[in-house]
Amino acid sequence: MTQLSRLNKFLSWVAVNIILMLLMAAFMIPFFYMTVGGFKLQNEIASSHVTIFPREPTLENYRVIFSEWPILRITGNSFLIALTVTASNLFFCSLAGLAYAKFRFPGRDKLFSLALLTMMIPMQAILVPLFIIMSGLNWVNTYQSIILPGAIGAFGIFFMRQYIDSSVPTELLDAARIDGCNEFGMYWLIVMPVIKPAMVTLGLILFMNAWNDYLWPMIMLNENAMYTLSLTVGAAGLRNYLLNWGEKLAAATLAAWPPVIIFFIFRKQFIESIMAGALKGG
Amino acid sequence: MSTRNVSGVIETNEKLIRRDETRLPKLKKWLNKYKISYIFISPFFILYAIFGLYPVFYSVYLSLFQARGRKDWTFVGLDNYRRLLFEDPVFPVTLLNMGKYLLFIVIPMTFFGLVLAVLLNSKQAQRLGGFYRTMLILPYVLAPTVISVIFVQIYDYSFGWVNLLLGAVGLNHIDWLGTEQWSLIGISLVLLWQFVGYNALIALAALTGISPEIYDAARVDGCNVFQEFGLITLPLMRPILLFMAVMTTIGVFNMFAQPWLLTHGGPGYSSNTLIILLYRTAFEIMQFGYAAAIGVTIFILTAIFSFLQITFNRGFSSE
Repeated sequence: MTQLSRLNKFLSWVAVNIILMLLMAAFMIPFFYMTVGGFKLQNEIASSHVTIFPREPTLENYRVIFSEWPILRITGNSFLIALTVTASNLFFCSLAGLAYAKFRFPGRDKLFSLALLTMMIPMQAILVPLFIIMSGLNWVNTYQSIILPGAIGAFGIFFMRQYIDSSVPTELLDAARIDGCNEFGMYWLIVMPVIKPAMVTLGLILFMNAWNDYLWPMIMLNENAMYTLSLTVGAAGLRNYLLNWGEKLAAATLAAWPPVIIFFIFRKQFIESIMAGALKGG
Repeated sequence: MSTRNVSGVIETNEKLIRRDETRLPKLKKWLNKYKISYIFISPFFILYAIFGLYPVFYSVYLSLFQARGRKDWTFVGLDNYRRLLFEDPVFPVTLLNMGKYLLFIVIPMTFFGLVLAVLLNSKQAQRLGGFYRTMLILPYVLAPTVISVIFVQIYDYSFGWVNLLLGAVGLNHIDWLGTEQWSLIGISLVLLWQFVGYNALIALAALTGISPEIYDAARVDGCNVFQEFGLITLPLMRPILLFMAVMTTIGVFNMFAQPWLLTHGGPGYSSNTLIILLYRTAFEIMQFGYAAAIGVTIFILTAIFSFLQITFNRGFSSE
């Protein structure tokens, strides 16, 4: 009897893990396909004779991508835009979050609701007037046209307010105030060290969103030297209406790996904060 | 107040001080007290006024004109809306598509997110839990452009891995992105693939919050696994499932990159989305006024939808 139940236990363990492993494979295979496919030539990828690893590994796709696109400059653009958007959001959203969570001032809750309300209007719906404004400022093909509209987001403010409200003790702030600390000093010396985990999580999300963004940069940026990696992936590998699969995959690999590496470095914190319910704002 | 009883001198002093205070402009005093708070929260409002609120009003204004690009504006009143709602054959097709996308994405996303979370929450999955959680999130990190490049290839009719797999198990190849019948489903599957893991983690967070004692009690009462799921897990998970569905719905409404890169909304208009319609109207045929009217229609739809959701939520929580 005990042997039977032990067998049952073992079988259910195997069953659950096999299902999960198959699902994980489904999540990973496209990523794997991209990474190895960048080292295959067109006739090897587009063939019913499937190879898993490249039969004749080649750097030809990467050579073409690097010769047709200023990849270093483009990578720099991607980092510049994503890092600026992230830093600006983290700073301004945590300041506002502190004020909404811990300070008393007239209209606080109404203003906070108003800020949240702005999340309801999607940026995609105001593309045309935004484009006209940017063109009027002569900002087509500039970094600021991409950075400024997303430099401070209501989501970040909401996220930071929730976190500061629950994790920064009000007594600590009161003590600092009695010691003659001003509000900015409080932010810098007391709040900042406490909210580092929230900064990492929000920072990751903001960085990935800015790095991966497509529609708005596609409208505003039309010189190769101003492109982001995400845009390059959309445009690369196409000549005379013929699509080169390997080149597309090589470009995609270049765009995919930086956020993936950053994610892997911070994955524990990121997953923990999702698990803690930080993203549902509970 | 208590000083009045002690001596008149202090009282007059107080009066003097009070008079002095009133000499200061009231607003300035008020500002001094709350200055820092308003400084902390104002950057968002300033930026939003320029790049959010102003474009919203601009959209409404622009939608009343026939505008070819930035020049040649002619006032036409509400004609753009009349055309959009009653004449444009693409708009109703696109709206219907949005309904289909909601059906094919939101429901499976919430359902499979929950199923995956239940699997991950089981005792059997604990040993490899860290690995599973990391892998689940991987597609979420990838750019829509990257994902589209990959799926265009693995959906390929002759050589795509999906079709080779279908062939291997004896099924017919499917032209996922090239037929009106399949394009919308093909795109929905890509989005499901990309976001189901993320949703599973959110659901898992809520699942781990359910106390195991409830399940123990149910087991004592003779519940089987499915009864446990239906009678305990599902009711307790309803708020979080609603949250997942709402977030996914918002995402679907704003969908552009994946359908654009996979099919350009085609073949025909079979996988068109509202944002693709807006984008093409504005930047391919340069009808800015008409595109602004589409934008305003999207606001109104979003507002109605959010209102319904809030009412639904309220009814739900007071239940």
